[in-house]
Amino acid sequence: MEIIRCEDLTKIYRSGSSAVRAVDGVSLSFDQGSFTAVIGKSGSGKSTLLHLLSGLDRPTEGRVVYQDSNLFDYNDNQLSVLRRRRFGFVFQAYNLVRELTAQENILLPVMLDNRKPDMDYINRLVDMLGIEDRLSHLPGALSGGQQQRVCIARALANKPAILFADEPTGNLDGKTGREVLTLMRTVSGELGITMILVTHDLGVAEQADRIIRLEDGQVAEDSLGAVDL
Amino acid sequence: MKRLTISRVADANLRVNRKTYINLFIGILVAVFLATATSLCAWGTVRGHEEQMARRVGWMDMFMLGNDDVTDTQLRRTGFFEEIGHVTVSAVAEGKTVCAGYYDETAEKLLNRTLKEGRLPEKAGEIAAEESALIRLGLEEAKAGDTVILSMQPIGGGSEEKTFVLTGILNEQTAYLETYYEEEGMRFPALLISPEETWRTGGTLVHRVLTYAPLITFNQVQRNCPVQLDMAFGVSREEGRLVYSDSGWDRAANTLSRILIWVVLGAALMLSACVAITTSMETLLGRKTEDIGMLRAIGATRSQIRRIYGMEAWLLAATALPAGLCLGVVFTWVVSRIAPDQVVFSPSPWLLIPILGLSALCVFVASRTPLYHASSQMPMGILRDTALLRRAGRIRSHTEFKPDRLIAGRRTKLHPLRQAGAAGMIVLTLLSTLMLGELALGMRVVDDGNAADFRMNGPALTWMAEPYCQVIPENRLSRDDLEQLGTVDGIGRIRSVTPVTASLLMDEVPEYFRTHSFTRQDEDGAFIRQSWGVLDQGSSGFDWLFWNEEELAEARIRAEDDWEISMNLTQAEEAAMVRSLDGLTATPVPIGVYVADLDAEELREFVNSGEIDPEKLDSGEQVLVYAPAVCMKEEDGHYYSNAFMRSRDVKDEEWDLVIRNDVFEAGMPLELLELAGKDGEGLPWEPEEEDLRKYYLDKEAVRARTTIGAVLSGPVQIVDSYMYAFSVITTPKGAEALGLILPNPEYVNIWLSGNPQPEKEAEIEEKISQTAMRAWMDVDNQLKVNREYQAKKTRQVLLFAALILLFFAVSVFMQVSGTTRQIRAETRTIGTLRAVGADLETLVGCYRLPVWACAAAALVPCLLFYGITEIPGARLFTENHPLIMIPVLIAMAACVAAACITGIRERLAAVTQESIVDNIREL
Repeated sequence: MEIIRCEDLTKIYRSGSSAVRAVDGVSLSFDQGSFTAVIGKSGSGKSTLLHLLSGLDRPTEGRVVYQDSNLFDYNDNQLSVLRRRRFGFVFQAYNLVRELTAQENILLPVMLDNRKPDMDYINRLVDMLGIEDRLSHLPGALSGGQQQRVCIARALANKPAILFADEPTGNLDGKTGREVLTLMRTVSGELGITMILVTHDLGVAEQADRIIRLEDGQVAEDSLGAVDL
Repeated sequence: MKRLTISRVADANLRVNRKTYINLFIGILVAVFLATATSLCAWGTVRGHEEQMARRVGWMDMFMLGNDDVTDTQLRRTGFFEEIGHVTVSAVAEGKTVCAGYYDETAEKLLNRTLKEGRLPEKAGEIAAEESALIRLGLEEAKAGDTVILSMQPIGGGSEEKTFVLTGILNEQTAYLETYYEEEGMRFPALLISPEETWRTGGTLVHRVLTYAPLITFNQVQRNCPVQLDMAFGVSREEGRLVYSDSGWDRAANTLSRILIWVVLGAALMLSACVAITTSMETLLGRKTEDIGMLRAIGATRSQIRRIYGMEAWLLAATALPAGLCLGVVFTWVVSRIAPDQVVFSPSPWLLIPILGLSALCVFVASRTPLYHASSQMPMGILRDTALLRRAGRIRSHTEFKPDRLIAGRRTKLHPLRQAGAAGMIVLTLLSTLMLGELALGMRVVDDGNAADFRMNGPALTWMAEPYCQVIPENRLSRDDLEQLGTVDGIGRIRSVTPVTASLLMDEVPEYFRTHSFTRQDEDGAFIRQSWGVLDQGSSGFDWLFWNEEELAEARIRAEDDWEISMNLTQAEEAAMVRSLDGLTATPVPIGVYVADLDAEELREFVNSGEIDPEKLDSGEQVLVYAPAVCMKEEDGHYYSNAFMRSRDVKDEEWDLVIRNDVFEAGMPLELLELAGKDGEGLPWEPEEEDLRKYYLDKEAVRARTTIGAVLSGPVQIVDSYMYAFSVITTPKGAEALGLILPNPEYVNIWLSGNPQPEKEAEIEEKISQTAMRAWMDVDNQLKVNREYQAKKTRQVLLFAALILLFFAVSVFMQVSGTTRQIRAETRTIGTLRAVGADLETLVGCYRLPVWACAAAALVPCLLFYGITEIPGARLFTENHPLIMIPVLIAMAACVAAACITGIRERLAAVTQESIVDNIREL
């Protein structure tokens, strides 16, 4: 069953007289509970696509339909509510709030939604990610890997419908990366979360149900299971 | 390839960031302009006031009337004086106390004589006069060019009739230099003649006008001058009058109070301009964090960073300083054109150089902090938040929280001083509000409906009387004069008060008149003697009234060592002389008789016995008697006394001493004795019996019999004067009926019948002045004083209102620009918060708390200040200290905070217009 789709999604970056079509007329549909990896060379538009799908950026043309509505018809406040309830996002550069402790960063989407956190679930996440002893530290006191894990925990804290991840294992060593990915898969599987993941780590991409390869902002290949990488 | 020098880097920077530099340039320009304009205006105000006063009393510091015991050389040798000018008085207009004379060159400069019309006399037979002198001489109508005939008496010579051509009318000056010396020629000439004028007989009297050497004050001359300075008077150039004490501090305080408005305004504006400079620098350097990090990374030292970016400020300052200076000079010139009396345009290099220095210092200080901040940051420190982590030791992690409040609270905790500058500005806003409130609310209590519109004041020091004798000056206001004045159109009511010295003739002096003296030891063990009595509060000069022959004889022996006994003895001897000359059997008790336009209604509540019958008062049949009840008690080693209680309200058991009237009651007959004589017949310092006889024989004796109509006690006020000692009170008609000879009134209050137009008011003032001048009386135009007071208050209110607006704007500007800088630096955090679902309200919430905290922090010292000034002794401004100011202050702080939050919301709304990806994009 489809959960989100995009139609003719185009993003053009203008700089003076030249224009770059970062995403160029992409139409894709994602099923609920699926795990999709988006791959491609640097500058192929994969991060831009992810940003557009998750409503972090606005397209030049096209639309993203989530639950029968175009994301870009929502106003800023409605989009905010959607982001804190239904979407989770793992940033490549972690983007933690530096004044909040690891635990507070994790709880942030739940608190923004004014809900009581499911502490059993959160504690399980924290245990699985192995950051239980770093919870009271500020991000500045955490290593890159630890920050990435906090970021993942934050993205999953509100039990989102869709988890968007931009190079979630990019800053982790191979072993840790695989562990983190396994964890994300486990949790997603348990909760039926749809995962859309951007990576250039083929090892990571191999674990996906579906792999989309972008080239110059267009879908070069969209395949279920193994692809010709 | 050119060598890369620090100045070239700075120069390149200047070219790249033009817009920001324009802001910085304007900041510096404005700072210099404000410094120049306010300093020049302050200096101009001082000069303007000096010039105004110099029209009254000239440029001198001191003058000496006819003292030829000291030579100029002796005076110069003391080192206290710089310039000495001479004023020669050669004649006195006969019987009119108007002197004629001329100046030498220095005196001409120092006296700064200015003309209303015409010119100064140049040759014999010419004369210039003050208008008031002409009035006194009965020449009201004389104009420049007229020929006048004056009966003149040269100093020490015989009378001469002289014909002069009146060449000019002088501005008034001699009245401001009037002293208590009344002898022939002992005043400045109100008639200027040529030195060539010749007289058949007589000589001259030379007065000297002097200026002090630098840094010398009147008090120093008085205390330390080695030469005896008899008949010397200090002149206050600040106040345009004579002074009897004047220290450098008084002068400085006076000057400061005059320029306070400029100082406050200047300081406030300069502060704001400095804030603008600091903010511009912060913005400029904030944008260059990476450049600075890069420069530090490639090995630039902190001082090099400061030099590179400080150089920019100095390059800008080099152009902005002269431009601002010129603008300030032009501004002051414009102000001096608009208000030439208030501000004199006088820029001097001695003023401009310090101003430039001060401005440069301000620019330096203002740019120093941002430069220091910029240079002290470590490139890695920014990334790792090391400073933040160091301060975060005690942070407790929460599992349930409001994200915006937690983030804001933690920011406030981690950067407690970030808002200090803005808090300071809010403090200034609130203090200005407090001042404005005090001033605005204080303005309402000024208007006293009962106060007279005009007041004539008698020459304070010419009313010198012996205990038994009344000096009647030649030039005095008669009843007719006042009645005539009363007919002037526009004048409603006239009330005068004339104190007459007289004696109450009593066969037996009542105990009620006895003075009670007490001696106590003060903290230092010294003995202090204090006296209470009804004849003259606190004076022990009436003991002699109760002396018998033996006590009198004893007093003669003890008088040498005890000044109180000596004083009593003199009075006893004078009383004996008065008794023998007038064939009295009764004792003359010296008292005051107040002759005043009474209002029976005003006095009715103070009547102890009898009733006030105005007709009987006017016919002389009755008088009123003020017989106070004097009470005293000792408590904790101090004496407390009260003489203003109505007799019937005094409870004997509450006081240690009660002097209560048990003698005077309505219907009792009284006999008064007045001895009156003309000017200039004083007693020698220690008179022999023969001197006394001659003195009292000369006096005209008036004996009047009357009865007491009513006895008064309590806080009795006759026109504006509170009665304080036993007195007889009557009306002018009553005094006339009793045959009393009246000296000059102490003062005359005049009320107008409506609110006249300015021209009409001037006309009335002219008429009043002309009447007053006949008796050497001053005129206060209370309407003008009130108007000026109101205008001054209004100016102050406007100033503080402007200051509030200014500080308000600067506070909001600082807060918003500070937060904008913060927002710019934290765009990624904002993007992150948005990405995880924060809406605009939450984002505003993250910045709201510090603003409120800042406003609250500013409120605390202001409320404390308010609390301190609530203590009566510490009140700074007005008497009324309205409680309403507390909610007003809170509301003001809230307004500032609300305005800041609105500004911040606008900024954040602009940030949320950008996409989240733009927000969080790596720099």
